[in-house]
Amino acid sequence: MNSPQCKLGYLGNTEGSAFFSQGKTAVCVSVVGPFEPKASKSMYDRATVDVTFRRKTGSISVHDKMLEGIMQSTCEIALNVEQYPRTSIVVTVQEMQDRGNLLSTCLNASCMALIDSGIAMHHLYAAVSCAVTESEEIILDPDELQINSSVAYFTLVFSNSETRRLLTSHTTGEFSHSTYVHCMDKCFAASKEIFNFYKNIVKKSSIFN
Amino acid sequence: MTTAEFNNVVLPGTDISHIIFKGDICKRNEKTIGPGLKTMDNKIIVCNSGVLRCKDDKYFWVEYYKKKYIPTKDDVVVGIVSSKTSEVYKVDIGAAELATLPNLAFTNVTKKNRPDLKVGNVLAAKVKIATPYMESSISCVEYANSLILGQLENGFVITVSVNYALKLKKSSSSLLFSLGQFVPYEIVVGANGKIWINSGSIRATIAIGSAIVNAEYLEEEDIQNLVKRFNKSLNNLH
Repeated sequence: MNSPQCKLGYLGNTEGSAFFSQGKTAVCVSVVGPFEPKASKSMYDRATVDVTFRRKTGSISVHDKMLEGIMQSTCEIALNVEQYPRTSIVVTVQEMQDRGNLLSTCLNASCMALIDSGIAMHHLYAAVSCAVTESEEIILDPDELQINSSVAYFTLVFSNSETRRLLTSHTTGEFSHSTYVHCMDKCFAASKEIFNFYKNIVKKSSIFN
Repeated sequence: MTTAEFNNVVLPGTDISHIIFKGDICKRNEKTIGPGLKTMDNKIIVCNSGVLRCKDDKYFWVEYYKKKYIPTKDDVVVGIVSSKTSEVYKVDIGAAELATLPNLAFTNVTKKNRPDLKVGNVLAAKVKIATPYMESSISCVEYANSLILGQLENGFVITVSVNYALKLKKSSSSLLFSLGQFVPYEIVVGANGKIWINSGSIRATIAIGSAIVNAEYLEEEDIQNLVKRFNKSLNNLH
């Protein structure tokens, strides 16, 4: 797998931010909040989580809107929203460079930014992408060419709980059930690497040692 | 505690009940958990990424970096008046919501003798009501032997992270004392990360402010160097 790179606290005026790159894809995420939202958006028993995805140029397409929805539900389930009632938490994901695996990079970057913000979370999450070739070969973290020539492409998100917990699954293309299970095993093993990476980054940026 | 488990980095979702209980189930009632930890299904789960701390083998908490202040009862905070009505002032204390400050929550104030605060004035106050389900309420009433609260005139406000403000308030922090060796100044460090500074000249005030901001990530020895440089730059001004 391509080793990811990350810088926490990249933006000064937000509560949490991260610049994250995996392979040739890079995104920048900011987390603002919890702050007081408009009365119409406020919920009396929990925080509202808002994820916005932004392209380098122009407005976002329908496909991007779907990615935004995936990120939103993954972030929301990871955050301890009950601890911040009547507030709003806004996560903004800015694409910096897209060379494949955009969704998994965005998800991992948003997780790092949430870590940086100090907002309480139930668990962390790590996204892993894999492509399946015509000869049923599974490529973890494929590049752009490999994705285009693949028959199926998965992005799977796991939590860091002790048991295996699949949070999100986004798939394109045709595949058999056994291929899916196979990919899940491989991606789960790869997600451990990402959690280790998270831990190293937190260790490095910790100011309390 | 000198075991390896403490003062180590922990991540959200990690179950640490085995570290906290460590064999002695009989003492369960005596253990207290603090910020960054929560109980779920009889287990203790971490919910903020930071360093696990322990005191007297009894109190456990996670120390983590945060910029957003969450009001806590009896904290002394520095706030900025952002609007006023006939009954209350709304004060920005850096939390998710503006805090309310009743007109009568000042020392020696009656209905006839009202306090005269304007939008933009800075004040020091104590948090009286702090729950996430309500607007927090602050008060400037002083009691015998209490801190001096109320409007802070002149001066300059800087904002730092909540952790750093708490560190500055600790008596082990030498920075504020060392700066005072060179130039006399007044300072109020709010638990919300807002710091009010006032001194004889505007230049000295700004120099103190930037020295405090710059010292956030410095080690103790480097702070002494910073203070020396601060003194040099102040002397050059005269």
